[in-house]
Amino acid sequence: MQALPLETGSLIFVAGYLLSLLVIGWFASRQRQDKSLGDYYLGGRGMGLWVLMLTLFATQYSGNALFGFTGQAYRVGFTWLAILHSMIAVVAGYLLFAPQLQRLSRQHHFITPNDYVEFRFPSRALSALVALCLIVVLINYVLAQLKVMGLMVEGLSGGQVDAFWGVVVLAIIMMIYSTIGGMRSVAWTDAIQGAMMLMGFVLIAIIIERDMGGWSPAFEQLREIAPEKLAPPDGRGAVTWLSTVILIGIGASVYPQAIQRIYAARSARTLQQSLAGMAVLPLFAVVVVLALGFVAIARFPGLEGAAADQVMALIMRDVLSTGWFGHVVVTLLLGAILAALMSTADSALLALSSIFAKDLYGKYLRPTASDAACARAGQWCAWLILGGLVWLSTQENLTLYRLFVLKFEILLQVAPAFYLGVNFPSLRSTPILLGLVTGLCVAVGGWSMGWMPFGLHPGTVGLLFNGLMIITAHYALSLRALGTKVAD
Amino acid sequence: MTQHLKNRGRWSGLVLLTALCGIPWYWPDDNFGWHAWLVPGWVWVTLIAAIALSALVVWAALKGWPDESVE
Repeated sequence: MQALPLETGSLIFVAGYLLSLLVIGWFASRQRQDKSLGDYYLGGRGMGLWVLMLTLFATQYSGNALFGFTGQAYRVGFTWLAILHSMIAVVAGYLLFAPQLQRLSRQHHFITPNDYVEFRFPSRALSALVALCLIVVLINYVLAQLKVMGLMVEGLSGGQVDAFWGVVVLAIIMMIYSTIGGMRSVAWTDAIQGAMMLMGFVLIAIIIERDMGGWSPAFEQLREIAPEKLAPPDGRGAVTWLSTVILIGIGASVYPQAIQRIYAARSARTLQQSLAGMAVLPLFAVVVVLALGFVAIARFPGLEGAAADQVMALIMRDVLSTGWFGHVVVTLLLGAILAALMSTADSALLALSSIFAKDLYGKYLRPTASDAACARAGQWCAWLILGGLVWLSTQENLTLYRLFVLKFEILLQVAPAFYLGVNFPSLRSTPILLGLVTGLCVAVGGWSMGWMPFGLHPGTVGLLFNGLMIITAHYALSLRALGTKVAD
Repeated sequence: MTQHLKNRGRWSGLVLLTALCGIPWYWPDDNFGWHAWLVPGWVWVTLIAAIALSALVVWAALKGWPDESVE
């Protein structure tokens, strides 16, 4: 990230914001009603409309929304509008399984996503594989956020603070408030962070109009400099559009941390209204972030590959030079970016901690452990994993978009267990397990080879094979059962 | 399938996902003959489609939720 010549006032604001997160964490810890896993990991299943909507928003719009989306808009141009449709598709995807899942979670007291999988498909192999997939996805997710945090701290300090130490400090703050307050703390800080992000998006719209010469001249310039980035998708581009909507729309709807928020909703009505709100937010949030990326094509030409992920930082640098209002805008925007990164990372870490506590420690390592002991084990696990990831975040050399895509390749293969599980009562565990294994082999294999047949993401191709395997195995098992019945 | 997809929300979700995936297949090379303000016509049509689909998702979330007494 480019160095930003920030003033003391800006740094005090950021420090105050970080301190307020710790205060909220402490306050949330005082609100705990008991030491059960449900209270710690789901906030006692009492999340109201605004907190639920803002925490879903903050969880779903990560550092990628601000750095990755602008970077990708810069790289590929207007065909990246597919991300707007994808974010709406996420909510359409929820409609296919969330109502039933929420009802079941209240009846059977689910804590982790895997609790539903185990309830619906009683197979140890399937639940272990799903848990493994979710852990890999969450680790990938946290890693991407830490990587951006490091870049940001280095840029803010003009290279005087090493990325590693910046990430260490932010990670410790994040872990303290999520450890002491659990989901309540994470959701409350998410609500504040979500509100800050929304304010950040308003500021971006103002920046474009006020400091970047306005929308109209910027797009005129874009038409002259890079007309190819204004072109509609060609045949292959349309396939990639379709694949992106499937990949993100279905994949993001089964984020482990999002599923836990479905469990944590106070009532079906609360969840309904929150999802309705979530369907409107992309029209504003995604559009302004993309517009910033498009405008940057004309303003900062020539950035390629991972360098394009820096357009947000370049724009902030420009805005800073416009005087006191620029400083205020950038300071608030920095708060919003930090909010986006921390809200996503803390939710993912809490989900990771719950999967370890409930699905691994409480089930396999120490089945007789109390809820409080399981929660403690989950907290230790989150600290350890975070320690490893902090180190790894300074070693990796992948672009943000590539990291972003990898988790969807895997999540997409887990989705049938939820989507089909709630809608098809006759479906058994063997077809889902075989489909998951097939889909994972195709998706991860394809991803590692950089394979994109006809413009389809490897995860989408994996889902296709996954689905075919489920259908084949389901009907093969049904025919076998019918044959046995007839023979009897 | 019909038997299990018996509420409007689930049907709406399916239809919306299909529509969202299918949209770019209909962009003509001449931008609908519309050389619009700021950006080409296909971009405006994409944005209008997004607004319409978002409104449908809101409707489906609020009105298409399954009736628990029926389920």
